Amino acid sequence: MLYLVGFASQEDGRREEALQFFAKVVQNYPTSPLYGESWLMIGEHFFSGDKWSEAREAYSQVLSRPDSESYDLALFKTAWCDWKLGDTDSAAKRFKLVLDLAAEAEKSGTERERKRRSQLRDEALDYLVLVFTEDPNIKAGDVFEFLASIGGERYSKSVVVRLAEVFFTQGDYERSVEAYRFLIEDNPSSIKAAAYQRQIVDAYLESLDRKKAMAEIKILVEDYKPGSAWAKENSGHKEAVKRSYESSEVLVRTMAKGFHAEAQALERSQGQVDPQMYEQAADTYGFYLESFSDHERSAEVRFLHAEILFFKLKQLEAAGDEYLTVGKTSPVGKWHKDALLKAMAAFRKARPDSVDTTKRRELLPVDRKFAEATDLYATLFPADPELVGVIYENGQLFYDYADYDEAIKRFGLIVTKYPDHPNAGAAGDRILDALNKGEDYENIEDWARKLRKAKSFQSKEQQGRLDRLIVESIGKSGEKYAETGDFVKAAGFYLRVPKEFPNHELAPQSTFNAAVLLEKAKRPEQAADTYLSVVDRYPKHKLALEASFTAGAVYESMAYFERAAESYELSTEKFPKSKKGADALFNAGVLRQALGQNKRAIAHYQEYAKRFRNTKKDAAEVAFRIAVVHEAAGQDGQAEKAYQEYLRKHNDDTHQIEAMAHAGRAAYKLGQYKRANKQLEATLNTFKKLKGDSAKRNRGFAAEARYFQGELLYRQYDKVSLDVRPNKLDKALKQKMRLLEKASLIYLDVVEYGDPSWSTAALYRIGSVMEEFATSLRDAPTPNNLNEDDAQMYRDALDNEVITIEEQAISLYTTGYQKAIDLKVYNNYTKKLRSALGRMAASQFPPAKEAKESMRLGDRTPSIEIMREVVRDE
Amino acid sequence: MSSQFLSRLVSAKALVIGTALLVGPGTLLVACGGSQSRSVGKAAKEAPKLPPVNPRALRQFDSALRALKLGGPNAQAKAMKRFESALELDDKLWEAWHNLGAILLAEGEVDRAADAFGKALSINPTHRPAMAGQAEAYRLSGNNKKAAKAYRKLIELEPSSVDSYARAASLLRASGDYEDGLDLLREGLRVGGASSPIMVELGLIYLAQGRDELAKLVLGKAVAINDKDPAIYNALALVAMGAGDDQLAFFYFDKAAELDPNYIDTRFNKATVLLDAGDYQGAKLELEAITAIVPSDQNVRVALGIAQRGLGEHDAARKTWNAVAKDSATRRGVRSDALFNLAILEMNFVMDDDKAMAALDRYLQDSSRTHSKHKEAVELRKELGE
Repeated sequence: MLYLVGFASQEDGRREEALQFFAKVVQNYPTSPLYGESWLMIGEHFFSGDKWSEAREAYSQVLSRPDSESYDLALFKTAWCDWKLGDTDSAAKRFKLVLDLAAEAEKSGTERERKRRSQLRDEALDYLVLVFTEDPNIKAGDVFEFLASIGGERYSKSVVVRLAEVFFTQGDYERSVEAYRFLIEDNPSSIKAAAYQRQIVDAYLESLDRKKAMAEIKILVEDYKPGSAWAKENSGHKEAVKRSYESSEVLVRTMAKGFHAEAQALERSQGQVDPQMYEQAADTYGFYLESFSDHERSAEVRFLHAEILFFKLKQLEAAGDEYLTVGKTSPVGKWHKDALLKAMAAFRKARPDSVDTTKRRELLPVDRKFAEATDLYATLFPADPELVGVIYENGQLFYDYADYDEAIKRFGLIVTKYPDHPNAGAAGDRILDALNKGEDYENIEDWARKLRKAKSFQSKEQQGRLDRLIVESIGKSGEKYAETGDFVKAAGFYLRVPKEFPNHELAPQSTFNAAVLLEKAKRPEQAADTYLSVVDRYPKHKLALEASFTAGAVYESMAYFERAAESYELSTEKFPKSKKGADALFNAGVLRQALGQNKRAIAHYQEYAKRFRNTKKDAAEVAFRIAVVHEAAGQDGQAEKAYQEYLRKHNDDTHQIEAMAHAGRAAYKLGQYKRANKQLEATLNTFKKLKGDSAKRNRGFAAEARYFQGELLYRQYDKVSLDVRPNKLDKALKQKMRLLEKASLIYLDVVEYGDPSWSTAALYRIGSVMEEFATSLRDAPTPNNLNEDDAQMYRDALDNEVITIEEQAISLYTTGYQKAIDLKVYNNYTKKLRSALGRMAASQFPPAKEAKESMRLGDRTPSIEIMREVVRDE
Repeated sequence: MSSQFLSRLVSAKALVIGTALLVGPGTLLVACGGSQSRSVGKAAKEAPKLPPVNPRALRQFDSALRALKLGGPNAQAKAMKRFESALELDDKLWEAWHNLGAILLAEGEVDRAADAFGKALSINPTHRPAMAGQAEAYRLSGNNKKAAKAYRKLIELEPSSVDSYARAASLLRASGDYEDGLDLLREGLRVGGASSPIMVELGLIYLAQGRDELAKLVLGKAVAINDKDPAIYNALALVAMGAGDDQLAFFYFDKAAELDPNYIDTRFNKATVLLDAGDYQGAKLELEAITAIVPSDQNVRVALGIAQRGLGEHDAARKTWNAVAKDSATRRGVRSDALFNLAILEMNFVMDDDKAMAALDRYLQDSSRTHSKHKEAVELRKELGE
């Protein structure tokens, strides 16, 4: 009861009165369970009045009752009192006992005991530390040793930790650092070592010793980073290690930002930048970025680093690099957009003014990075309204460098992704311009096609422009492949134009070019067909004539003469008045003639002669040719007419005598002997007027004309029959002989013209006429009214005559033959002469009956060369 | 004359060739118009790696070459023997096989030549000259299928070789496959452009088809390409012969022979014109000249006999034909010609019926019933009686 009254008084603030009640308890009731508590309350009374001796005395009374509930508290209080009374050793020892009690309670105490003694332990520790801090000479090592000396090793670390903390709190950073360092050294692989190192950094930071702080922070990062020896030692504490790393990151980042903030504050206060301050901040950011480059906060730190470099230290390219690095990080966060824009600005600003980009083959590093930044920006922020401008600027950069591929990529992005943007048109122009400068025609075509769909190119004018560009590009691509010798591919390009733009003005030319290239590609048939397609599809184009003519030439070169003729005919049909039309007509005539299609050949020649009579020198030649072809085809009437036509229209003497003679010959063949004679006469009369070369050149035709005059007389001779009444035989014979003589004279006259061939022919003819005469005499019937003797006499006389004539014939044949051989005339008449002699004078000129090989075609077996060297690889 | 026309045609074509125009922004290419550009053919593959040559074989090889170089009547035989010795010592010496083939081919031993070339090719399968030699040997031995195959292989090895196309086409012509021949020649034109060998062969095919005007046309083009190629004039002469213009034919044969005196066929044809015209002296001179170049051409010697007989040199003619009969043991056709001519000589010119009978009997015994003079000989024999 006394205790409770005392306690109530105490609570009520009547402290002296309470003391009285507690004193009565300890005096009157030494065995009371509240005996110890009462001493404790007495001790508390003195304690609160700073009466340390009295208080210690009172508390000591409690300690005499170890079973007292307040024993531990009393022990703590005595330690306190000792400390207050300056007996620090005793105090420390007593505090240590308190810690022992707490440790015991942890093991075997009641819940209540554990709780209270734990509180006491904490307080004991605090006070223990306080005890140590009071002496400025005591260091962590001393404390450690002291505690060991009193058996309190187990509390030493906790105490030193508390001690370090207290030093820190007290601003005694050196000692705090010393304490932490002691702890680290005591157990470097402890999981707490990193935290102690951070405390060291903090201590230096607090002491404003940035240099030392930086030095320590480097140690922190280096020695306690993931993968360090420390981290390996603590591999069983992964989470703790991770937390430690995070703490270090925070520390470094905070420190850097702190430096940055300080620099800013200083700048604000001083109104100017303190480069050193910013450099320090930048260095710290740099250190952070070196150490925590993968950390999620690194983008932020790098951005801040870049900000200092760009705005404060004017390290533009370095700033750009940092901004760009931020832009490249993922995931995309709040820093990216700003970073990339600033990167572009930094690189742009860092670009040297004096560099002439157009003469450079490679981009300056700053420009390359600028381009990279803009590309990244375009990729990351496609919806950004500023984007098109950014891309355009980037494209322009590459354009300026003549790096057209890169420029086109940027401009192309604008055109394809932002076709409605006002810059799209300009970008499109730039693309085409760039491609043109790069001579990349396949891409020009490709882009022109894309641009055709772009809004800014929808006007009729622009569409037309693009169409033309596509067509020209195709052509240029064709040219390019042609230059490399890939003619088939080149032709493929050209052929696309008429296929895709059949109405384009360049379509005919492209088709034509394709044909030329197909020729070069050794595909002549395909080439010729392509040439013809020019005529077929573009008959009015100026190349159509050339195309049709060339098609003819190509077919002709491939021995497709029918097709060649058709192509030439197409040329002449479509372009009758052109120069090539004339050549085509002529060629068609020649080919038709060669193909044996004389009617068509003649038609072409006739048209040629008629159409170009006054404009082509060879019109006369062609006109003459008409007659020749007719005659060769056995059309003597038309031949004669053609010769006459030629003679009427063409005055030159090139074929005059020939035409006249052959007209006479044709008339003769037609049985028009009078007309023939007249013509042949006229021929010879005209020939006689010729002189020199002209006469020499035409003597063969004159000789021929003369020969046919002989033939005309021969016809008269031949008409005279010897199968007549006997009384008329003599007359008939004389008439025949007269005509024979006349004809012979004419034939002999042929020889006078000095043409070996016709001389041979004439000599043969005289002989053959004689032979025929002899034969006709031999075959002539014997008159019926003669008796046998007379008949015999008649036959003998006739035979003698026959022999004489035959001898004459043989003589003529021999002369003709010898002449032919002498003059090396080996024509049909020579053969006939020889044959006649074999027939009539076999003993002198036996016929050749021997066997021999006939003509050889001339297939020469190529000689195979002898190998004269033996070469073997070593 | 037609050649004027042909040159006119060529000049018309020239209007296209070499005309460069620039129209508008695009470049107008120059039309080739069947230009005669040639492509470089695929190079023959390298010879296979072979072991070193036996030095003794090589000595024999060199000795054979020396024999050929020294010449003389037995040069070929000596060379052949030495090449054979070389091959006995080293049968991988494909060069010796090739040379052996070349000599055998020239000697007319076509089967052995084909075998020798075959051996060379079995060691060096892409050696074009050996392949060409084998093709010719097959052809001459009448093995047209194998010859055609060899030509085709040659073309594959060197697609731009116009000679191979021409030779292959001539083989087709010889067997009457004219359209196939034309197709092949067009193939040659496509890859090698126009060339005189191709144009000549075209002309010969057209001639064989009876399209003489076309033949003239292409041969005219051939002249425009290479007016020094005797084969063109030989072909033109044949066209002229076909048209009955022996004089013009003689002119062309003469021109061809002038360009290449070793062009035996054309000289033989020229001699034939002379014989047909009865110019035995001219024919004899020509044929003797040919015989001096190719003593082994028995057909030439048969014709020479006719010229000799025409000049009344009966003994010489007899000697010539007897020699042909003797030297043509394996060539029945030409032997028959010689035997028949001997009979005619004895019968018509020497007027020795006994000898004529004996000669005819010999002919009838030796010759085939398909020989051109067989029927006539039978009749003549009947005339002479027992």
